[in-house]
Amino acid sequence: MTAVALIAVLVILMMLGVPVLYAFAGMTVVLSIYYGIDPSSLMVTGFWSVNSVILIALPLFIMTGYLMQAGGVATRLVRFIEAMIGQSKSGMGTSMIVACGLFGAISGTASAAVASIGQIMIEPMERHGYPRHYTSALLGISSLLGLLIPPSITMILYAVVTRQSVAACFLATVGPGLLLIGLLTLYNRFYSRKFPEQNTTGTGHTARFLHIKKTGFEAIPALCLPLIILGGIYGGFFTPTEAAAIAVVFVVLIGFFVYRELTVTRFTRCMVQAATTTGIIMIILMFSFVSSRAFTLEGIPQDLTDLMLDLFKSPTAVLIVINIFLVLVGMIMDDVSVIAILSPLLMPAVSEIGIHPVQFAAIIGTSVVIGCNSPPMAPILFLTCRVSNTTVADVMRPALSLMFWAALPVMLLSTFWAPLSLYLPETLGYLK
Amino acid sequence: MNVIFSLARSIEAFLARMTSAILVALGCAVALLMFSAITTRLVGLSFYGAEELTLLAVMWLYMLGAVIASRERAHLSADFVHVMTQREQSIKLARALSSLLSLAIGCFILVWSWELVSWSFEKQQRTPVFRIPWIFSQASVFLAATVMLGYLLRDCWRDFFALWQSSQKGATRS
Repeated sequence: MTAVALIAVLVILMMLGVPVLYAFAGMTVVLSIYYGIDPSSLMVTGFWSVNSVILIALPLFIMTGYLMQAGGVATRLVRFIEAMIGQSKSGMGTSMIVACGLFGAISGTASAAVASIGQIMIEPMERHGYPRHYTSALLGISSLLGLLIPPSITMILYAVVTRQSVAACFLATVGPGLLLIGLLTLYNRFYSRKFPEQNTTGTGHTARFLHIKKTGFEAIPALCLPLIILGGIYGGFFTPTEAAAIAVVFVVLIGFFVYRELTVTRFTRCMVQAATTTGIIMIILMFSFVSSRAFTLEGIPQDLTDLMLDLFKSPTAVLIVINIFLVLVGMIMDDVSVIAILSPLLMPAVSEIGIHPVQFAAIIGTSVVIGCNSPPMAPILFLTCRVSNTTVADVMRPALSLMFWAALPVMLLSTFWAPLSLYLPETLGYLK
Repeated sequence: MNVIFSLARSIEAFLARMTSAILVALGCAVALLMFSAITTRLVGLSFYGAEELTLLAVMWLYMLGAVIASRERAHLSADFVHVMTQREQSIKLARALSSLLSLAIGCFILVWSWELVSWSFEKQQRTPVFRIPWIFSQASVFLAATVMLGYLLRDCWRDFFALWQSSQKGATRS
């Protein structure tokens, strides 16, 4: 019951609008007073947990995302994908989905994808007859492919918090990520039939081929990035943190010297923005480590496991409850908090019913896709609305529909069909 | 009074610009240190201590980033109150209450971070290669907690002032 009471404290603080970091720290204050734990020892744990080489990948990938946007890398990628598959009406939506997936394969974040792809694609899609609110909803869900297609920041966090291999966790979300691309594409294909036909000037085959050739040539340096990052990690040449450093240096070089869109002012702005975003995440993470340590000291995760197994006898029921819980908590917490606080708390329960921690990475990763688009927290949905100049009320309906038909099935399949998330890590030898 | 406020604002703006400059330098240092560690390894050399230097720099990057987020009031929070009510007075009340609670919790964080620094001072832990005391990194937590508390005080003052102004307006209207 203590765990439930503590989560209630956290939720009440967050409902009052207390920033997540102070809400976590507030929960630790309650914990330390209730159990008489010395908070200074908890702070030492928080510091040493954040002081990790693996976590350095986080600021570096966040920098990559901002620099891709400012240095013209994102524009080249989107133009090329649009030239390849964006000629038909449904193709425009598909190119947005694929662009988000590819963006995710470089930066590992969702917000940078929303900002850069949104700015480039929303207007052309409107010209193709796509209603703005639907485009915003599609962008909101698709951008979260950045959290599923490796390298993913949320998976780095999960791996650090639960002490799993980062590479295995990256691979666990590849299957769900590809499935989400497939389902979103399918949904868009059917849904876009409803939109009115627009008088867009068609181009001949030769002109189209030349356009693909031109945009493809321009996108070559950008397309090399995912190959370098993923090839380097899985080829055993470097660690995810080193891959992130290479990505930053590569993006800076092509931004300054190849595309020549990166200026000193833009670069400076990107670095400050990236540091601010990182600061927001890391300080939340630090206090979530502090609270998790206090949870563990008092055996709260084990109590929660016993409670769940007493209440729900079958593993299927436990998994359904966990899924519902993750979706509900995702509505009031951001992705970082969900992963940082819930993964260690729920880990004993899922292990008890035979779920592999790497599969749980995929379950929690796919739940974040739903959470990030569900108000009142909905950080990605709010960002999408800001970028597309729409209101949350307008976007909510198509967003709910997309979540129901695409994100929810992916989450359920990740939960109940282990090979979707475990096949790749197992085949590549990352599971013992 | 106005002179003091405007002087405080100018000093704060100058410090924020300095912080941004330091953040750019730290960001570059972190990326280049990691990058040089890989390149030296690929050419058969070893850059011993690159990781510990990166860790020392990155903690300052995290903490100063969090300070800038506090300055801009950009720390993540749920927008529940706007969903539940549209009444301006209620929204302002919730905002002021949230600032007050954050301020109270911020005081605890300041005490904890001071205890972390004191503990570090007592233990004299050092990095393995360059023997740099870890207190250089841990001090960033205390500095961030102090500055963030300052911004919380500012937010609290602003929110309560806005609440007071709005209640005065309401009283005049009625």
